[in-house]
Amino acid sequence: MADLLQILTMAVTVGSLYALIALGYTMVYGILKFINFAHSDVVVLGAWGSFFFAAALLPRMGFGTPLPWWAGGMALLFAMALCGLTGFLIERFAYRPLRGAPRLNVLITAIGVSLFLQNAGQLQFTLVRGDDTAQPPAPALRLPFGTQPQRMPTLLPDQDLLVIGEGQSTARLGSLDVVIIATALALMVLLDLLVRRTKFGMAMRAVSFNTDSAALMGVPVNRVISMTFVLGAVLAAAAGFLYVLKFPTVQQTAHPTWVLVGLKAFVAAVVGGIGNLRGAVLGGFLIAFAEQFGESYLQKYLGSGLKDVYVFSALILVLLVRPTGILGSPLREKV
Amino acid sequence: MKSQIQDHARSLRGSSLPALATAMIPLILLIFGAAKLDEFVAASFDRYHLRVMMDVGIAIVLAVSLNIVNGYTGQFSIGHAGFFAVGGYVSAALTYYVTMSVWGEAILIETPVSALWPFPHLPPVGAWIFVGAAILGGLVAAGAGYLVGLPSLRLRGDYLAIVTLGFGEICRVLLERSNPQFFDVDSMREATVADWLPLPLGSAQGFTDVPKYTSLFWVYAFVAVTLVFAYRLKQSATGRALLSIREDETAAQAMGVNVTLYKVRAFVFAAFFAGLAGALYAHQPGTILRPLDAGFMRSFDVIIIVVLGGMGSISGATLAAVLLTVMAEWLRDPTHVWYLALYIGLARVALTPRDNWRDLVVIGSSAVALESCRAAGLFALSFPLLSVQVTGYELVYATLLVVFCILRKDVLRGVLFVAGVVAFAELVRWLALKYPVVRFGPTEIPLRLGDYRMVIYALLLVSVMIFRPQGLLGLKEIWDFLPSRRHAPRTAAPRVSGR
Repeated sequence: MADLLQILTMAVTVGSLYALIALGYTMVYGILKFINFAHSDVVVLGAWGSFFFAAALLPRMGFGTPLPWWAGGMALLFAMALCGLTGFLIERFAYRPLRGAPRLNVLITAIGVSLFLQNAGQLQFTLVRGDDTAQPPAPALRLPFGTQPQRMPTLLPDQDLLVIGEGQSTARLGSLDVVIIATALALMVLLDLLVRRTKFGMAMRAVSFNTDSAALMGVPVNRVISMTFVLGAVLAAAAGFLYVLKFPTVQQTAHPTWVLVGLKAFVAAVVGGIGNLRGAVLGGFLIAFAEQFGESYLQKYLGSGLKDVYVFSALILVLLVRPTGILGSPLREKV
Repeated sequence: MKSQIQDHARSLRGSSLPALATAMIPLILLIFGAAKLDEFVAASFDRYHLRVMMDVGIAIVLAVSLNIVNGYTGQFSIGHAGFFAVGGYVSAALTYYVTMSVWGEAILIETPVSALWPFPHLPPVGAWIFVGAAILGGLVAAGAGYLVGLPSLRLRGDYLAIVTLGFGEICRVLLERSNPQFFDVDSMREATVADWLPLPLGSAQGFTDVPKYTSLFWVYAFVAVTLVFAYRLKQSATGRALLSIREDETAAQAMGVNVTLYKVRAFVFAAFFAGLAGALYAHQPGTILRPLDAGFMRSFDVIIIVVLGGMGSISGATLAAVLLTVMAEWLRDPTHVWYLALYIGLARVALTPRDNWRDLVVIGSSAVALESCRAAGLFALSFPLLSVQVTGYELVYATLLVVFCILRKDVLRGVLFVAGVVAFAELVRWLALKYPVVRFGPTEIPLRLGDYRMVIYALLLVSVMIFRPQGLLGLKEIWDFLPSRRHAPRTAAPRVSGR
């Protein structure tokens, strides 16, 4: 019983992160019909952005350890702003010139942007004066990227809220889990309200339904697409921040863990029916459940470390039964 | 009536002998060329350059094979590395364990049996074991291709792509979870079922100590087979069916093309050659086969080559494979980044009839960078293509002037343009000395450009996609650009063999 609860907690926590990232994939796909492979790198940027804020910027401004109580929220906002800006720039300079190009080209561009973010993230930036002849030159401000994993400073204490069972099989609900789930759910509800209740959301849905007719009805298509990217990037930033809260080792930007997080979120979007917001959330939780429950209950029969196999098998199974995902609308071919 | 049509069709087809000849003659010539290449080049090149040449060949096989699915058929496969890894692992396991169980040790089988080998002009026994293993690896990969192609019954477009992605990732994870390999015969003999299942393929560390059979000859012999096959396939009825699916799936279906059958076929062909490439890679000196080779970053490398070459263009894929592999190596030397920018700028000036401020900026700033590198004593400055040691500035400006005088026949504009470049270069240098700049890399080494090799690569990729979306050659082949073919129709007219 305690085991089950523990797996459930983990699945819901991880699932809410996947769902947040999947929303970004699904929004972009819904509007532009292409897979934004650079999205997972925006998540990484969110993680590193919040790390930069908490570990470099705050101490520099005089707020040392222990960090003040508002540090978590501010780090989240900082990461969101940074990623929102990046999302806007990516759309403006990489994707907009390719509006109307073959989809494979857009996809390669997305891979290019992803490679760029991954590798640029491994450089260390240092601001120095050009005529600085001191050896070695004194660093003015060093941005803490690089190839080494970093440890995220503790922003929120992880207190036990609920402990069930004893010894080997204990289920524990930490305050961190609650914060992560609550933040993620709040963001999802906000997004849902935005898309369903506001005029901007209506414009988004119109563009997603039919770009040309939306443009004819006076919807500013380019602005809507830009805003969609910004929204997706903001959600990704939140996911990245929450991820490093939960798993405090901030890996270098091209590390396989990040790639896998992005891939699984993408799988979640597809499983739920890509282009469908509620589907993405559903898919996120489903994928997390497949991963966590598969790992704990099938371990006896198939061996450990097969999390990713469960995820991708779930994907293939779902697609074979419902070729456009669980909540996806069926493809209609027009001749 | 029907039999009449069939008879008529048969009479049009001609005999199969000339067709066989058109396929075999280039193949034999190319394989002969590969043997000569091995004979002459391998002796005079050092290990690093040989390795790069082999990498180029393997990239060609991979790209041309993926081109069958992505380029001809228009299906979108992003799990190609999965087939690559399947072929590589199967063939490596075969050579490794067969050699070990027969000779007691996994080594290159050349010396022990060569005395008994009756054909001195042909490659030794071990090489034939390798070829057999490679073909088996290719066949197993083709089987995997069949399985992956089957969902195309129900799935279309992006969804099929996602399934192929899932296939590649599942391959990667399963390989990571494989048992450690046996390093000697005794442990192999004593192994229990638990050691054999999952198969002993070296787990996450990779499959080491595979006999290194891959030589320049084998790489380019396989390249020859792949190229000739791809070309003949494109000309065949199957190839036309594949191309028709790319152009319009529904229309192809309406014309009686069995869409699913041909899609699965495309997957099987592509997977077979990807498996061969994997076998070459597994036996290449200096490589270790790792589970990450099945991962999707490797698939993307191949897709990038195919799209850059132009969808469905065999020569385009070949050209792009050469260019990208060589460039990725070439950019390891930091100064080459600036040479690249410089050459691109110069080529643009030479090829476009109008002046452009962007070219000015590119040439000027790369000249500055080269000059400041030289001044800082960081790198020896040489022009690799001309193999002379000159200071950057003068040669660049001289080249520019020559370009204008000869290609444009306009000395005055040439002088003005060069003056503009010089002015810009000086401005940049002055600004760089005056104001703070962002430096990359650790502070101890101010300009470590090698770090941003991949960043440059990514930026180039994005800009190629934006400025030349159809790829280098588009749908054409390289010979369509010859002056005699300039006005030929866009797609090659059907050629009936034997006429």
